[in-house]
Parts: sequence; structure tokens; C-alpha cells
Amino acid sequence: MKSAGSMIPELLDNIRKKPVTRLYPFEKVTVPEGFRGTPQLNSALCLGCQACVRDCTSEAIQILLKKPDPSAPPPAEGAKIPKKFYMVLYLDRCIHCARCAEVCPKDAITMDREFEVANFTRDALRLIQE
Amino acid sequence: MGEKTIRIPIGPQHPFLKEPAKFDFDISGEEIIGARMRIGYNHRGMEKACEERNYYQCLYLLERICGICSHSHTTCYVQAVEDILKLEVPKRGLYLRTLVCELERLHSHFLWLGVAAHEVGFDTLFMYVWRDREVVMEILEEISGNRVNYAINTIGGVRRDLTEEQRKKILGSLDLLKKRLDYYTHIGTHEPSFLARIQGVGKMSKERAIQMCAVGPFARASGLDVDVRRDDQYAAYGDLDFKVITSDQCDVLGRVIVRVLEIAESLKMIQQLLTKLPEGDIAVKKVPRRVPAGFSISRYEAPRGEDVHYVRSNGTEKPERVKVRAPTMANLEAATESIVGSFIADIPIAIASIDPCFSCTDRTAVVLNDKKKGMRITTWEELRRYGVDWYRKNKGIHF
Repeated sequence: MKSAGSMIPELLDNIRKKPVTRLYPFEKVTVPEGFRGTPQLNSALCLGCQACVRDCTSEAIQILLKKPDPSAPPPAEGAKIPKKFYMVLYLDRCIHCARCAEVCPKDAITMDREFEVANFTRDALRLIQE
Repeated sequence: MGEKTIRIPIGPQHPFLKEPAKFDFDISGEEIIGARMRIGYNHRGMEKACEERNYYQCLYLLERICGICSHSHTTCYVQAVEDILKLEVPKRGLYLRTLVCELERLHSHFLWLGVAAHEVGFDTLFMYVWRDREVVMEILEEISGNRVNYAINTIGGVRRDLTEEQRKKILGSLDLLKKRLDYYTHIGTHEPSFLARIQGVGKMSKERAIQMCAVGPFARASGLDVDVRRDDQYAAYGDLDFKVITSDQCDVLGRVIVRVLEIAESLKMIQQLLTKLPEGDIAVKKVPRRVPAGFSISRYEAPRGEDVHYVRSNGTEKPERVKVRAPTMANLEAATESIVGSFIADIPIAIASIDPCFSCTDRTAVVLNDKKKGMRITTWEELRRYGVDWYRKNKGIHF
């Protein structure tokens, strides 16, 4: 059953091979198409239904009502002002599960492919998306 | 042999332990004559946290019980919830779920083989195995979007479909894995330096394995023919043709043989799943958010052994109770006992032979409220205040 030296052919095979270690960050690393990066909100589509807030596992999302711009011209008599929402994303809590994108009835949230999102302060990880 | 026994404590922090756990060994000379273990250093309160979250939030929380068998825990949980909801999951959804199950088993077993080689000081094998494991990791990243927490399960099916291109790519990678596996099987069973360290180490007889309720590859290596995939078929395992691998070696060598041959079975299953993959939906379209009152127990063969989830619902959006029994919990007592009779140098490999995951296991905390011994229950606020005061007084740090 025992046979010594069975590693030797494999070792010789590997002598000529290049190291498999990638020189990241000097060499750029690519991620696949479906990679779950940071959630991005398209506020033009957002209804403010809070479905993403309700299902976010780590309570990383806030959807807030945008205050009307005071410099904007007043709307015409009887016309409705469309409500605008923005998202506050706490990236330090986000677990990148993409549940927010899945549950959104208007597909207003999409996941980008960004993965180099680490930062030195927590404040920098509080993203406001309008 | 000496009459004097010495007790060696190992842990909670020790270079050979990847996660905190405490072991006490009684030794006589070089031989271990008694072993005890204690867990509870890694408790994260996940079961309690589940009671505060809705079913979907729990899904992603439970995925993070374990980094290696993340898909096992979610599948086990969604099966229980689907059972309470009486959902009929589409066939394609089940097949894709099973595909990720088997890919996960592949990468877990490759990982274990590498770790086992590392524990016995065979680092060349460790590096080679982990290099080839990357093939599986890349497949998983491609089909799920992540290398570790795949998040592919949802209540009522899976979240992502498999494209034709991906299907062909996986089938293409299988040949390379098969070739490499044959080589590792040869090394694992023939290389004298490896065999010398694993043969006869960590003995666990079949009778004792039954008494200690051992599960998974650890039990199968002691000749116990148990496998949930065959005994209590779930997902698409009913349609697949596979063998349950057992070994009568009853030692670490047996566990290597069982795991290596299981990789071959997994490769066979992946091939069958991809060739038979049915067309259709991948998930149930409308899943109610409120789950009617009831309970369910789900069993699942994780790479490390049988995983059990118990879910009780009360008609609301949140579960009333989620209980998880991870495979390491079942195997840990048996593994501790299997060390008795071996030498001190065999401790790392004997413990690693069950592929332990202590953070999966630490699920319960017992609170003793014994006033005579000076024990009392402290609320979170009190504990926080105590911590702030202590740092101010002793270290001069103001929060």
C-alpha cells in the first residue's frame, strides 16, 4: 500500500510553473458579472414603500423623504409635487446579500460591482444616494 | 509508564485551534489517558436574534452561522419554512439548490484535506489541494456572486438561474477536478509520511460512535452507514444515483478515505444534475410573508454531517423559535474521546479530523443564578455601565 516518492513527479511538474499568487493591489482583480457589490438607488423610480428597509438583515438602509428645493419655482396651481426619496446606506453594516434589490417592487435598487469599499472612518461609510 | 499523570490545558486560545475551545488532557508520559472539552467561548446569540427578525432577515443571518457550510444552514432553514407554508418548490429550483449543495461539499472536503495535511506537517499537499479548491470557489462565485456566502436560497426556491454558458463551464471544470482527485486519493492512501501520521490515530469504534451519536464523515469512517441524503431524501437527491461511502478503518485514515471518495461521488452527482437539469421556474412566484402557526424539523447532510433546524411559527412575520443543531455539536464529544490512547503530537489532527467549527456549535448559554456563589443576572445596560466605569477608573479612558 505504501509507496514513497509519489509526490516527486508532481513537484517536478510544478518547478516550471509560475506562482499562482496574484499581485493584488498592483494587479487589478476582476469580479464576475453577478457580483453583489454596493446597493445603488435610482431615486427617480423609488416609491418610498420601505420594503428594502423592512427586509434589510443588518438594518443598513434608511429611505427618507427629500425636502423640496426652496430655490425651485413654485408648482402651478393644483399640480402635485412628486415626492422624492433618498437612501442613507450604512456600508459598515451592509452584508451585501442583495435582498433590497430583490424585494424592490420598482427595481429601483441595483447592486454594482465595486468591492474596494473599505475606509478608515465610519463616517466615510455612511453613503447618501440621491 | 509513569504512575504520575499531568494535566495539560489547551485553549481557549492556542496556536493549533482555529477557533476558541478549551481542552484538558490527562497525560502519562507521552500518552493521553483522559480528555475533556468545554465550549461556549464563541456564543453569538443567533437563535435569539432570529426571534427579532422576519423570515427573510433570518435567512441571511443563518447563512452567517458558518463560513464553510453557509448553504447548508440556509437550505435546512428554508426547507423547514417551506414545509410549514406547504410550498411546492419547482424542480429546477431544487436541482440548482442541490448543485450548490454538492459544490459546497466539494470545496469543504478539499479544504479539510488541505487542513489535515497541514496539521500533520505535510504543507506541500496543503498548498496543492487549496490551489485546486480555487476551481470550485470560482464556479461558486460565478453562479452565486460570492465565494463564501452564496445567498442563492430563498423561501420557495433559488434566486439565480444558471445560464447555458455557466453550465458548460462547470462541466468543463469537472474533468480537471477528477484528474486532481485521483492524484490526491493516491497520495492520501499511499504516501508513507502521511500514512505514518494518520493511521491508527483517533480511534473510534462503530459501537462507541453509535453511543456518542456521531454524524457525517466521522461516523461513516467508523463503519456507520448513515447519510441523510439517502435516508431522508430532500431537494433533488431522490433523482440522483450515488453511493454512501463508508470505511471500517475507524481512524483518521478512514476519515481521509471517506472524504476523498465522497468528493468523487459529489463530482458524479454534479454531472448528473447538470445533464438532467429540467426547464421551468426556479422559485415559487408568490410567497406569503406571514407564516401560519406550526412547526417543522428539517434535516440536511452538511459536509461535516447532519444539520438539524427546528422552526416554530406563530402566524406572524417573525419566527417564534429557531433552533440549530450544527454537525460539530454532535461530533465534538466523540472526537474528544477518540484522542484517548494517542500521543500528544496527534491532538491537532485528531481534533481536526471531525472538521470542527466551534462558532457553528456555540448556540446556547446557560445562566446560573446562584446567589451563594456570588452569581447574579446582569442586564445589558448594567454591563455596559460597568464596562464604562471600569475603563474610566482603571485605564483613564472616557467613552
